[in-house]
Amino acid sequence: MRRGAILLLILSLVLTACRISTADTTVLADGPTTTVPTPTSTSTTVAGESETDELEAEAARLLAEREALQKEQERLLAELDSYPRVFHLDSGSVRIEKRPERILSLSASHTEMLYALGAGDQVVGTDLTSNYPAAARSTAKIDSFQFSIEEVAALEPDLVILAFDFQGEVEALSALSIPFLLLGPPDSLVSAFSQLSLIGAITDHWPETFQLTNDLYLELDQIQRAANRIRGRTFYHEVDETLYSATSSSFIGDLYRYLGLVNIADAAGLDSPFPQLSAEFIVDQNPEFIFLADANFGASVESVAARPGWDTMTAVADGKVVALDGDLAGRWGPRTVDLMRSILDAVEARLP
Amino acid sequence: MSIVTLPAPRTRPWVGPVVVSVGVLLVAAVASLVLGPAGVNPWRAIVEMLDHIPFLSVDSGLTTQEAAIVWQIRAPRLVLAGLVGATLAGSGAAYQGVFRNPLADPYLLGVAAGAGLGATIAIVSGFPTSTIPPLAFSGAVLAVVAAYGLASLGGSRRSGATLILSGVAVAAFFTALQTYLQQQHADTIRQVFSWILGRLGTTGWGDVRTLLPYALVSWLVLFAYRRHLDVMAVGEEEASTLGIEPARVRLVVVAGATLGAAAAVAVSGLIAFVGIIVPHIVRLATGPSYRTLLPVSLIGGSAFLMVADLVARTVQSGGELPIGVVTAFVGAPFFAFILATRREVAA
Repeated sequence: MRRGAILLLILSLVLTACRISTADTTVLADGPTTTVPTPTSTSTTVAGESETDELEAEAARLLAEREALQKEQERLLAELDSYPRVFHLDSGSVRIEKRPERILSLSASHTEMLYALGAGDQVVGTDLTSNYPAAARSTAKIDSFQFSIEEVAALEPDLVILAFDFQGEVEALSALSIPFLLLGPPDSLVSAFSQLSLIGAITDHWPETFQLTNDLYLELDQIQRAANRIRGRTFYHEVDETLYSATSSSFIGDLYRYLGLVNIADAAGLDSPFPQLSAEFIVDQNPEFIFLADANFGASVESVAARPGWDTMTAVADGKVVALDGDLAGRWGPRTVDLMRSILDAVEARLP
Repeated sequence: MSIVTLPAPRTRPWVGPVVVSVGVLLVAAVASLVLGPAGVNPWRAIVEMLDHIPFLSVDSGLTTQEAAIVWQIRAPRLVLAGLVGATLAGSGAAYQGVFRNPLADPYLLGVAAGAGLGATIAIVSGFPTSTIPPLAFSGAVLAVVAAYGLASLGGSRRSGATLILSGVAVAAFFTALQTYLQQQHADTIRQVFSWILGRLGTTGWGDVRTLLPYALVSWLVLFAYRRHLDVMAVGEEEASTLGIEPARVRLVVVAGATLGAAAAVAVSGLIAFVGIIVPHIVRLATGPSYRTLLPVSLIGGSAFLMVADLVARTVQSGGELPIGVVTAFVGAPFFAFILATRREVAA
C-alpha cells in the first residue's frame, strides 16, 4: 500500500518534470529572443540590443525560479511517504500527524490557495475577509482581526493557517496543541508559489499542486511575453492615500517587475519595501501610470486628479490612472496572475 | 474711577525678540520654499511665488509641473506648517500661563483625545477623507466642553487643578472609545495611526483656508489676554485682588486656545510637543513675561514647525517621515530637560 503510494508520487513527479521541461522548450522556442534559446545563453549578447539582453535575463530568471521551485517540490516530496509529515520551514519544523480534514484559514490568500488546490472540502472555517471563491463564504466565519482562541478551538480544527501573529495567535494555538502554519506575506512571486506548494503538500494534494503551479507558470510566460509591448513604462503604485507605496522588493512590486514596468518608488532610495513618498517626489517623477490599490478605501481616478499639483502629471492628464481590484492587489493567492493580466490589459488599453 | 494711573512703561522689551523671531521665520520660510526632493531651481521658485502677488506678473521660467510643485505643493504646505505651529505654540503658552503649569500643552483638556475619536469615527465608518477635519474638530471641542462641564459639577468655585483633572478623565474616556473603535475595525488601523502621527498638507490650499479663520481668532484672543496671563502668574487669589476674575480669564483663554488647537489638530493630526517646547524655548530666551512670550511663541512655533516639516520631507530623499516623529524626536529630550530643570523655567 505504502509502496504503491510512493510509486504513484514518483510517477507524478516524473510526469510533472517532463511537462515542465516541455513547457520550457515551448516558451523559449516561441520567445522573442533571437539568440540560442537556453538559459545559459544570457551571456550571449546581440550588439546594440540591450532590450534583448533584458528579455533574456528575465526569461532566465523565470526559468531559474521555476527550477528552484521544482527542487523544493522534490524536496517536499521526498519527505512525504506518509503521515506524520514533518516540514522544515524557516520558522521551524512543523509536524503534521494526519491528513488535515478540518482546516481553518485565517487569511484570504491562503483560503484562495486551499480552494484552488482542491482542498476546499477539508476547509471548515475561514476568516471574514475570505470572500473567494464563493464556497468560502459559506464556511464558518472567524474574525481574524479579533482573534479569539476559544472561537477557534470551538471549530475543532486540525490545522490552522494564518498570515499574521499580531495578537498572540501562535502562543495561543501552541498552548492548545492545535497544529498551525504561519505563512506571512511573501516578498516575491516565487515565495508566494512556494507557500502554495507547501499547502498542497500538507493537505495531501500533490498532483493538483503540480498542475496548478505549472498552469500558473505557463500563464506567467504568456503574460510576460505579452508584456514586451509595455516594457519600460514608469508607474506609481499607491497603497494608501497618505502616499504609501511599494518598491520592487515587495511582493506587489515583484509583479510589476515581471511585467517590465519601472517603479518610481525604487528611485526614492528608501530601505522600506513600503515607503511613504512625498507628493512633491511623485509629481516630479511624473510616472506614466498610476495604479491605485486603495480604491476600496476611497481613492479614485477623480480624487487623484483633485490632489494639488497632480493635474500636471502625464498619468492624470492622459487618463492613465488605474484603480486595481482591492482584493486582488492585497492578496498573494493563485489569482495573482489575474491581477498581472489586469494590469497588463489596463496599460495596453491606455497606450496609443 | 481709577485714582492712580500708572505711566506706561517707556521700554518695549518685546521689540528685539519679535524682530529676531521674524527673521528666523523668514529664513525658515524661504528654506522650505526652495528645498525639496524635486530639485527646482531655488531662485526661480522665489520668482514663481512673486508671480502670485496680485497685480504682479513675472515669468519664473519654471515648467508647468515645477510651478505646480512650488505653488500647489510646497507653498501651501509651508504656510500650513506656519499656521499650525503658531497656533499650537500660542495655545501651549496660554495653557501654561492660565494653569500655571509648565507641563501644560494644548492637548491638556482632551483636544487630542477628542479629535482622535472624531477622526477615528470618520475613518472606520468609511466616510470620505474630507469628513475627517470637521469630525476631529467637533470631537476636540466636545472633549474640552465636557471637561469644563465636569469641573463645574463640583461647584462654582472650580480651580485650575479641578479642570485639569476633569480634562484627564475626559481624555481617558475619549481615548478608550477611540481605541475600542480602532480595535473593532482593525482593517483601517494604519489610516488611524497615520492620522495620529500627524501630517501637513495633502489637500493644498484647502487646509490653509479651513484653518486660517480659526487660527486668527485664536491668536487675537490670546494676544488680547497676554497681560492677564502675566497677572495670573502670581496666583489666582492674588490675581483677583488685582482686579482680575481668574475663572473668567481662564474660560476666555481656554476657549481661544482650544478653538485654535482643535482647528490645527483637525487639519494636521496630532503633532506632538510643539505646544510644549516652543513656549519653553522662548521663555528661556526672553523671560516669563507674556507680553513677549506670546507673540514670540506664535512666530517661533511657526518657524519651528516649518523647519521640522522641512526635515520630515527632505531627510529621506523621495520619502517622508511623519512630522510627529520629527517634532517628538526633538521634543522628548527637551521635555526631559524641562523636567530636570523645572524650577528655573516654571511658568
